[in-house]
This record gives sequence, structure tokens and C-alpha cells, in this order.
Amino acid sequence: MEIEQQDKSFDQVPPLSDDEWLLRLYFSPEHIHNGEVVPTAISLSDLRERGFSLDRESIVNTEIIVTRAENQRVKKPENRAEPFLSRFECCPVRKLKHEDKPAFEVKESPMDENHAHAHILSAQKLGDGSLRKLRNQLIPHLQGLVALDAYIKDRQS
Amino acid sequence: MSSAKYSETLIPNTTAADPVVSTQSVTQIGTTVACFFAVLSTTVSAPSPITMFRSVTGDRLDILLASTFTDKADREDLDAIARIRILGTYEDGWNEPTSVAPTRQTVEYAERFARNLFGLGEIVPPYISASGDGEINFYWKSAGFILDLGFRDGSSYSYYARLPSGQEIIEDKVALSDPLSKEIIDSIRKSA
Repeated sequence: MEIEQQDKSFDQVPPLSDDEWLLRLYFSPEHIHNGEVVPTAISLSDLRERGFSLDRESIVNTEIIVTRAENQRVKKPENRAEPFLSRFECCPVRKLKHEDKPAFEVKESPMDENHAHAHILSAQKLGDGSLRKLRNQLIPHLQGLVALDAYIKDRQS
Repeated sequence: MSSAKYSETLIPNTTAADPVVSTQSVTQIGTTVACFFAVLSTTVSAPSPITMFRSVTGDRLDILLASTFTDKADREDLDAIARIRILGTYEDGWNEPTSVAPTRQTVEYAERFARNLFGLGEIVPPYISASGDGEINFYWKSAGFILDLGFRDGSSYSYYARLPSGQEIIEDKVALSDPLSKEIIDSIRKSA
């Protein structure tokens, strides 16, 4: 019964459309170097199987992002650097190709605690070297960085 | 400290003029040796943790730093190794809650790679960082050039290179003993 209710609730989550904007939170300062996101911000395992986690800007509860950042900051207090978000559009990432086929699957993946969850996965089964190529294709799309605090203030105003 | 004084502090006085001291010393040494072998025969020591100053395969970094190579500008290899050892101290959950720390093996191979790399001569230092799946990564980016090279568990590494000519090189599994291609080495040399 509970699972049924959950499924119904997930059914109400609209599919991710091309014109939506996506958000990615960075937990570790080492994933931003000289003001740019570096490849290790995207793990090969995420691209291959788990999915590179995102939030859909149009439906996300920003409290969830703030809490996520805060939880990680408490866990690793030495990383007190200001958290940053990448903000980028879905469509250009969906258009990226690898050997003439779509490189990425960019899809909604609602979770119990966050219906706005989405992910990016490699659309093809690839070895580590090719996955590295893919993440270097993705990186330029993630360079629209904004400080989390500034983003939240902007959303609230 | 002179060598004579150094010897005096370590070696007991066993001259014939002082036979009692000599006998005690022999007894103490015998006891110490017996205890030593008893410990060896009954315990298996756990691997010690990797720290900034210690790895299983490498020399101690503090000893290397104190060696004759004291010019910091010439020791970018030591900076790289120090950075890798810091990554070796990460714990699971260091990034996202599901992230894993680099394994001991990954740290050791990355360290060996760094030693080989800087052995090639004047190399542009890479940006060294970890990924949430435990990878240790060496990253170079300059005009028209990208090299994304990393280690996860295992004795091999993988990389993606885009050369200034536009040529791409992709390798899924390269043995540590295999050299990087000449084109890549030329691109990461300081004179490039």
C-alpha cells in the first residue's frame, strides 16, 4: 500500500524537459580549482552506473540543498569553504554526442525525500578512458558557478 | 655529535676493569633478544596508516625533504607526493555521503606514477585531486591541451588526452610500467 502511494506520488513528477535548468552542488573545495570545476567533480562510477546527481531548479525545495550542504559541512568541518552550485540548462547536455550517438542520458529520478532529483548517466557502455572523455565534454557546461548563499538569497528575493 | 661520542651512548662499556657491568649488559641483551623473537613469533602487525610522512613503498617524506635537494623550486615531485599522501588520509564519506576514500593500493600506485613522471625532467605539475569513487587524478589543462589521467584500484591507470593538434588519445588500461606517448610527454614538459 505504501509502495503504491509512493509510486503514485512519483507519477505526479513531470518528466525532465529540455528547457529546464539543473543544479549541482559541490561538497568539496578541491573540485573547484582556479574558479573552474575539475573532472574529479564527476566520478566515473557516477557516469557509468550510479548517475551524477542533480536537482531540477523548477521544482526543487531549496531547503533540501541547504540542508545537504550543511550536513556535509558538519561532517567534515575542515572543509568550511563556501559551497557552490553549477547551474546549467538540460538541452545542451542532451545534445552532446559520443561517436555520433547521444553521449548522456539526462533524466528525472525522483526520490522519497527529493522529488526534484535528476541524474546524468553515460548513454553507452564505455571503458574508463572514454568515460573520461565524456566528463571532459560535460565539464564546460558546469562552469556557471554560483555561491549557494547568493543563489538562495536571489531565489528568495 | 662526534662519532666517538655517538658510539659511547649506544655501546655498553665492557672493559675487563668492570666485569660486573659487562655481565649485566650481556644478560640484558640476551633478554631483549629473546623478547624480540617472542614478539616476532606471536604477533602479526597491522598495516600502519598512510600519513603525509609515511607510505609503505616510498621513502619517508621528511627524510627526502631533509636530503641534499633543498631547493623548493626543484622539488615539485615532493609536493605532488605530499598531496597524494593527503588524499590517502581521506575517509569514506569525505565528499558525498556515499563517496569512498582512495585505497592504500591506489595511493601507492599514484605515488609511483608521480615519481616516474617527475623523473622525466621538467614537467608542468598536474592538479592532483580525488573523486568520489576513490580515484586519484592527475589533471593538466592548458591552451588546446587536456590530460585527465587517474588511478582507481588496480595496478593500471586510464586517461583521456586531447592534444593541441586536436588529436585525442583514449586508454582504458595502461600498466604503470608502460610509458606515456611521446606526444603527451612533449605536451606536459615545461618547455612545451
